[in-house]
Amino acid sequence: MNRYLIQIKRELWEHKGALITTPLVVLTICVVLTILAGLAGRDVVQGGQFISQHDGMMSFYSFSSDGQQQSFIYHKGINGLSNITDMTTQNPATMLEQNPAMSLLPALPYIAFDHLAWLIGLIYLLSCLFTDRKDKSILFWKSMPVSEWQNVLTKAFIAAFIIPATAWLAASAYNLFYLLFMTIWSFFSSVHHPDLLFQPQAVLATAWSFLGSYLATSIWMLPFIGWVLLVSASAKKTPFLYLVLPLLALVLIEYTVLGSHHISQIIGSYINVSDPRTEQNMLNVSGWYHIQNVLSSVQCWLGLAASAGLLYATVWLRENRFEN
Amino acid sequence: MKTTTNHAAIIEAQGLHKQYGDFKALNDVSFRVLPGRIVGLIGPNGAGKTSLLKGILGLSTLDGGLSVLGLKPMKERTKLLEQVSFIADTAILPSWLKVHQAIDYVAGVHPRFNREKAQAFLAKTTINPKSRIKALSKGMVTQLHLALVMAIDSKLLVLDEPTLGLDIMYRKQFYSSLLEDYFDEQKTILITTHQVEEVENLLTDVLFIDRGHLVLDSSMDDISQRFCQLSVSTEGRHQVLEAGFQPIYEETRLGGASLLFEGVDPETLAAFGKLHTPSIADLFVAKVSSANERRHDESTVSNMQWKEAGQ
Repeated sequence: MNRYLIQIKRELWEHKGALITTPLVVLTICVVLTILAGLAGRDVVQGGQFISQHDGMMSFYSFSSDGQQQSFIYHKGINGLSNITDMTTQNPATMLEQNPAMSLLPALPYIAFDHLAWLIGLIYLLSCLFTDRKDKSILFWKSMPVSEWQNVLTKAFIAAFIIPATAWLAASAYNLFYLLFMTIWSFFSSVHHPDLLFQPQAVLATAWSFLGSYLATSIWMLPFIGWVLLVSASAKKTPFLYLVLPLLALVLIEYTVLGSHHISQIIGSYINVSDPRTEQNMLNVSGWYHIQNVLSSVQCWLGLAASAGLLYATVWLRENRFEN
Repeated sequence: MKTTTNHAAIIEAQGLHKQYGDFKALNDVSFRVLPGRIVGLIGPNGAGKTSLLKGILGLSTLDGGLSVLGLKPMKERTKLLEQVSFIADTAILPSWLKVHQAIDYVAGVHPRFNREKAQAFLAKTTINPKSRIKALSKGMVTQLHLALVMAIDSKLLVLDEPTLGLDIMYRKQFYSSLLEDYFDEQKTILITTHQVEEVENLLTDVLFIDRGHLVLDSSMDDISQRFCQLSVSTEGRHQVLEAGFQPIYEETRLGGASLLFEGVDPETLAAFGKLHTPSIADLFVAKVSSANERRHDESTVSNMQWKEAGQ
């Protein structure tokens, strides 16, 4: 087997719970809840009209009014009421523009899973160069002809690309399931136009859009990944404190001495995963334009230089300072 | 080792030093290890064994000249580890790993690993390939580790207290497997252990190290020629000393003494008592004690010279 692939496989074996089981469990819970909510259904009487809720979770309702089928979006009350016959004549882009909440629907799983991925990534990075020193297996790994550069870069690759890819796949899988579920369900409802309730075009467009967002996030977060890896390689115990305390100290020193907040703003831009130009949270607002914004920012390139330094320091620590 | 041959040395150490603050872990250590040898690195705790092994394996820097298989261990560690395997008492296999995953991993990263050989070795044990390491006993973990290492066609195998904490059955199995299934003339083994008696019959060479100094570097053949141990009665002891023979170490035994000599013709001693080749343990104690006495004497002389200079 390829020497690089087996390193990735090793990470998946070691961190199976965080990297594979957790997204799968969350995906399964979402699927089960959706099915249960759909099966349970709900009837609502609004303005004297009898309304049947079919999906239960995603705020889409359909009802029959005087023999005419209509659909609408429900969010803290009915809004976006549309006549189905009218909607079929609209092109999807116009319809999404008129009903922004509709475009949010397929985005929700991506938003949920990428926040989950952020948390999983943090936990993974904090532990990946700490546990082999803690459980004393480090000398076994070091007895293999694998360089520390390969080792450390594999872990950075997992955090930057594999974990977001897992989140993207899980969210896409949920959306595909939901599309299928709604298609089947619509046959039992008064609305036989699942494409209106949940547009395939919107699903694909959202998936594509979040792919760009995830890639931009991966590049943007490299300095953060480098910092957490360094903490993981250097902490003798409680890596989380090693992660937070130096940063907190820097923020306090800057504020006390200079009275400014630059460091906290920089740290905040990574915690919030902010687009450097629009300041949108790239985990919430998707789009390929984030990549352009990230790559054209000075902070990104300074951050990449810092990542290289942090990764070098991490490798140096792994080669020269380790307990056994 | 000191045996002169034309073979390229597996390990070539010249004037090695290692210092932690004021503590000298290694002090001017020089030796050569040739191919096809089983070398015992013997020394008490804190003698410098681990520092030396770490240096040989490229896990820490040593001052001085060190070449292992013609490579600089620290700079070329990854390349070196394609030809060097090691099992350390602290090299614990990760508890989350499954047995078949361990084989897959080593097969994936090591170009000289033979999967069939590892599986054949494991087939002789009761280890289930689907088990996690944490479900195995310490003996089984060592068997697994040994199976992985023996399936690697390495030129040098470094064993640092490999049988520590194992019961006698596993310890015996460990060394017999090592000799029967692994060792050949192309391979070299470097072992450190406190249980010297267990490896004594395996070794072809010994390196004694104490307080960072190499106190003996010899082949086992040389030992039997250079050293002899004489068991004598109390009266016999006086006669030996009166005859001008000076043992490097002596030990009182029930009704007599055991005297250890270096560089004395055994035939000249045979008349005084029973002669035999000293065990590694006895020789180690003798060499370390005499080296300590010598260092103590040198230190005393040096202190006196300083005092005189001060006056």
